[in-house]
Amino acid sequence: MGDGFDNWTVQLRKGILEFCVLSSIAVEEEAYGYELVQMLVSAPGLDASEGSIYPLLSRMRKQGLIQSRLEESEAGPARKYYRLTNAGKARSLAMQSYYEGLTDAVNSIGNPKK
Amino acid sequence: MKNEDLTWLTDEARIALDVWEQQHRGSWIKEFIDPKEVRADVEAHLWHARGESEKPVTLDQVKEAIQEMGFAAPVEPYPLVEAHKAGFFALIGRFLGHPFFWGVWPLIVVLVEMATGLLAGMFFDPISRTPQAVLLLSFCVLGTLGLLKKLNEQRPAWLSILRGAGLVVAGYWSLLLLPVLVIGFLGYGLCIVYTMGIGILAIPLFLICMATAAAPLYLFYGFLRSTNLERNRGPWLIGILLGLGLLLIVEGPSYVTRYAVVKDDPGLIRKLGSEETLLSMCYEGRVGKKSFTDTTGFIPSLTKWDIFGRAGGVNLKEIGKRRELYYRTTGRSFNVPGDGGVLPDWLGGRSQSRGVTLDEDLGGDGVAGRVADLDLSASRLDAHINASSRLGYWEWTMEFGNSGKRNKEARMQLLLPADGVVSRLTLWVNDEPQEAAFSSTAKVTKAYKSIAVQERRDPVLVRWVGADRVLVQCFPILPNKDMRIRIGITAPLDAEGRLFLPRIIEKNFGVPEDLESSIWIQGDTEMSLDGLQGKGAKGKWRETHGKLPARELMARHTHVKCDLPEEPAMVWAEDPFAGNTLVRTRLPLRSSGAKDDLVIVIDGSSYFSKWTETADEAIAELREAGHGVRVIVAAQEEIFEDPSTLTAIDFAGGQDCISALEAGLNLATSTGSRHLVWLHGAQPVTFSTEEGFLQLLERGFHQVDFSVVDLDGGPNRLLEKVSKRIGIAGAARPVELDELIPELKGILESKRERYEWKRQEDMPEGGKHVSDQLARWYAWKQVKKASTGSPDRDKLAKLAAKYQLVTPVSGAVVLETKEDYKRFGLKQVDVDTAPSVPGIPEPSTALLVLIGSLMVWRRARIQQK
Repeated sequence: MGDGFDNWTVQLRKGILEFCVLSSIAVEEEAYGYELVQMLVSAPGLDASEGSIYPLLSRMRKQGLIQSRLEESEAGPARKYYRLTNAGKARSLAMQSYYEGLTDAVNSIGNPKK
Repeated sequence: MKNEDLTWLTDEARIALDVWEQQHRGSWIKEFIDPKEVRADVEAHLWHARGESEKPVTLDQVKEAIQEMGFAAPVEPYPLVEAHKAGFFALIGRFLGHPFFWGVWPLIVVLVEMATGLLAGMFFDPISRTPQAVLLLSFCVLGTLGLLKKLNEQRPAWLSILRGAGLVVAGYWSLLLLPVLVIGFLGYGLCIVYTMGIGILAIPLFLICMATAAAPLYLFYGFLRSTNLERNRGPWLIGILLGLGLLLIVEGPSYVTRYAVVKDDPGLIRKLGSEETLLSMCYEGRVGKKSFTDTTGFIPSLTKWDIFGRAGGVNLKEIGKRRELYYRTTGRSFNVPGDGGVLPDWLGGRSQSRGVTLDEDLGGDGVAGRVADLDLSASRLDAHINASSRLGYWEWTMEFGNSGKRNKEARMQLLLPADGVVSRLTLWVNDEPQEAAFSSTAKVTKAYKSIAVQERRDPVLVRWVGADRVLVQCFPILPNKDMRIRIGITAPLDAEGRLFLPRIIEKNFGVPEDLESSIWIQGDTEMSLDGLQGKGAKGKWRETHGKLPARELMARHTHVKCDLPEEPAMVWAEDPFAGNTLVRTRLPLRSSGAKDDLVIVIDGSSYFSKWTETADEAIAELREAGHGVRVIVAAQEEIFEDPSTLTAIDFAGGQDCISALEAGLNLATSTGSRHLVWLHGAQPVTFSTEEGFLQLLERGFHQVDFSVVDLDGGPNRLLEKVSKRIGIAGAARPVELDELIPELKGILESKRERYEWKRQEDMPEGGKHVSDQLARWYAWKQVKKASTGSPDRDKLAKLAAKYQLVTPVSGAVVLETKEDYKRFGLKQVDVDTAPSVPGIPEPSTALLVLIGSLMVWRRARIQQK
C-alpha cells in the first residue's frame, strides 16, 4: 500500500488507542495493569505494543484521567490497578459519543444508498 | 519492590533491575512518574512472562522486557553485576551467599556447641549465658524461616531489619571465633588426612568455622546488594541499630562486670552487671589451661587496654580479689551456688574435655572452687539420742562419685551440731571399713598430704577449722568409682531438746537435685524432725525415719526436736579411755537476775534483709525487758551505730564484719556492756586483719563475753580465725524468725545447763547409767576450753587423740595400709573403742549386754591398775 497508508494507520491507531484504554478501564471498575496491557496488545487490528501502552498510561495518569494503586500480592510482585478519574469518565463518554458520530458519518459517506 | 530477595530473579537480573531503577528514578520523578509503579510494571511483566517456569528470570530477559515496554534503556555497564559475574565473588555469591548459611548451618552449629560444649571446653564458652543462647538461636531460627519461599516473595521490610541485626550479631561472634576459624580449617585438613581420631573432632570444628565465616559474609553480601537502593537503607540501618542494641543488652552486663572488677565496684555489678559473669571470673586461670571463660573475657585478653581487665594476667592474687568481690557483691561464697551436678560449660560441664579439668586446689587447706564431674552420690544419716545424758551421736555416711577421667578430691566444710565434735572417721578401702587415726592436726595433715597429694593413694582427713566447723578432704576418688566415708559426731542437745543435723556449708562437688538423704533417728525419748514420716517404738526406744532432699539439708539449719524428760540429777558412764567412771552432777540454774547490757553487732550482708523486722522487734523487746542494747551494723561497706530502725538500711552484698566487731567491742567497753553478740551469716573471705579485735578482746580491761548467732550458715572465715584464738561464750542458731528473741535471751540469761564432773573408780550410788559418749564429750569440753589459751598444745592433742576427737589441736586421718600409719607415727583406733549408733536390743538381750559391758570395763580397770 505504500508509506502514505502506513502513516495513516499509525496515526489512526495512535488516536484511537487512548480511547481504547479508557474504554477498557471503564468496562470494569478497576483493571489490573498487566491484564489491561495484554488485552490491548492482543486486540486484533489494534496492533498496539507494550512500548506504546505504558508511556500512554503514564501520560494519562499525569493528565489526571486515570489513577493507579499498588497492591502487595501473595504470589509474585506487587499488582498495579487502574481506574478512571471523574475527568477520565467524562473524557471516555465524550470520546464514545464522538467516535459513534464519526463512525456514523464515515459509514454514511462510504455507503450513500443508506 | 520491598524485597530484595526475589528468588524468581537471578542475582544479576535483580541487581540489574535495581541499578536500572537507580539510574532513571531522577528523570521519572521529574516527569511525575512514580519509580515504584514503573518497577511494578516491569516486575509484573517479568513475572507473567516467566509463567509456570521453574527457571529464574535472567539478566537478558530483564533487559529485553525494559526494551519491550518502551522504557529508557539501562546505562551499561552495571558495576555490581559485573563484579559478581566472575572470580571469587561469584563463588561466594553462589555458594556461601545462599541463605542456608545464615539460617540452617549456624543453627546446627549453635545446637552442636550447646550440646557438646566443644569450644567451651577447648577455648572459651561462646554461649555461656542464657541471653546469648536465646539471641543466637532466635537469629538462626528466623534466618531459617527467612529461607521459606513464601517469606521471600512477600518481601517484608522486617526481613531487611532482621538481616541488619543479624549482620551485627553474626559479625560479633565471628570476630570472636576468628582464631577458631584458623584452627577449624586446620582441623578440617587433618580430618581429611586422618579419618579417625582428631578427624572426628575436626568435623564440628569445621562446621563452626564455616558458619563463622559464612553467616556474616552472606549478610554483608546482602547488605551491599541492598543498600545501593535508597529505600532499603532504612530497614538495614534500623536492623544494624537493633543488632547493636541487642548486643548491648546481652553482652553489656558482662562487660560492665569486668569493668567493675577492675574498678572494685560491687555496687555497679549489682546495678548493671552480671553475677554469672563474676562467678565465672572467680575460676579464670584456676580450671586447667583456661584464662578466660566467656566472650567478654576473651576480647580483653587480646588487647593492651585494662578497661575490662586482662584475663591473661590472672594470678592467684587476682583470683582471690575476684572471689572476695563476688562475696561483697552477692553476699554468698563463690563456691556455694550451683549445687547441681550440672556445671556451667566454662567449668567443663558438657565439654568433650569433660573430666580432664584440673583441680588446682588439690590437697589445699580450703574447699576452694567447684570441681567438674564430682558429685555426692549417696548420703545416709543415723543418729542415737540419749535424753538422760542430753547427748546425741550422728553418723553421716557419704559416697562420692567421679564421672570424669582424672582422680578427684572431694572437699567440704561441715557445720557440726552446736558444740559438737567429730568422734569417728571411717573410710571404706576395698569395701572394708577402716577406722581413722587421731593425732595432732599437724601430724595428720602431713600424713594426708604425703599420701594423697604425692603418693596418690587413699586417705581421708578431717580437721577442725573453727567454731563447730570441720574441713573434710578425701582423695583419690577414682574415675567412674565411688568413695565412701563415714563421719561420727557427738553433740549435746540444747536446753529446748534440739539436736541439730550436721550440714555441708561449703563444698567442691555437686549434689544432684534428686538426691535424698536417708535419715534414721533413734533414742530413749519421743522425737520429731519435719518431713520424716516413719515412726516406731520398741520398749523404751523410739525411732523416726525417712528421707529428705540432700540439697534442702544443706540450705538451712535443721534439727531434731526431742521431748525431754526431767534431767537426772546425776548421770555416769564408764570411760573406756581412762578406765574409770565419769560422773556428771547437774547444778541448779543460777541467775543473778541482773539485766546485762549488750552490744549487738549485725553482719548486714544480703541474707539479713529477711531478719530486719524480727531483729528490730528483738532489740525493742530486750530494751523493754531492761537490757541496755546498743547496735552496730556493718552494711553497704559502712558502719551504722544505733540506727533507729534496721528496715531503713539496704542490706545488699557481703560485708566485712571485722571493723564492726571492733567498733562493737569499743562500744561495749565504753558502755560497760557485758555481752558482745555477733549476728552473722556467711563471710567466705576476710578483708582485713582481725588482730585489732582480738587484741582488744584478749587484753581489754573490761571483760566481755563474745557470743555468736548464726543466722544463715555458710563458711565464715572471720569466725574461723576468731574462734581459733578466743573462746566463744555462747552460740545460737535460730532456724525460724521467731526463734531469734528466745535465742538472744538464752545467751543473756546463760540458760545453759551447768554441771559438776568427777571421776571415780567405782560405780556411783544412784544416778543414771549412760553411754560412753559422755566421756568423749567431757574430753571435748576440756580440750576446747584449754585450746585457746594453753601453751601445751601437744598435751591437749594427746588428750584429744586418746578420746578420738577432732578438735582445734587434733585431727583424724584414714590411711590405706598399716605401713602408712607406722611411717607417720600414727595409730589406727581399735574399732571396738569407736562409737556407733547401737542397734535396739530386745529387753533380755539389753540386760546381757549391760552385764557384759560392765564386766569388760571392770576387767580393763583392773588391768590398768
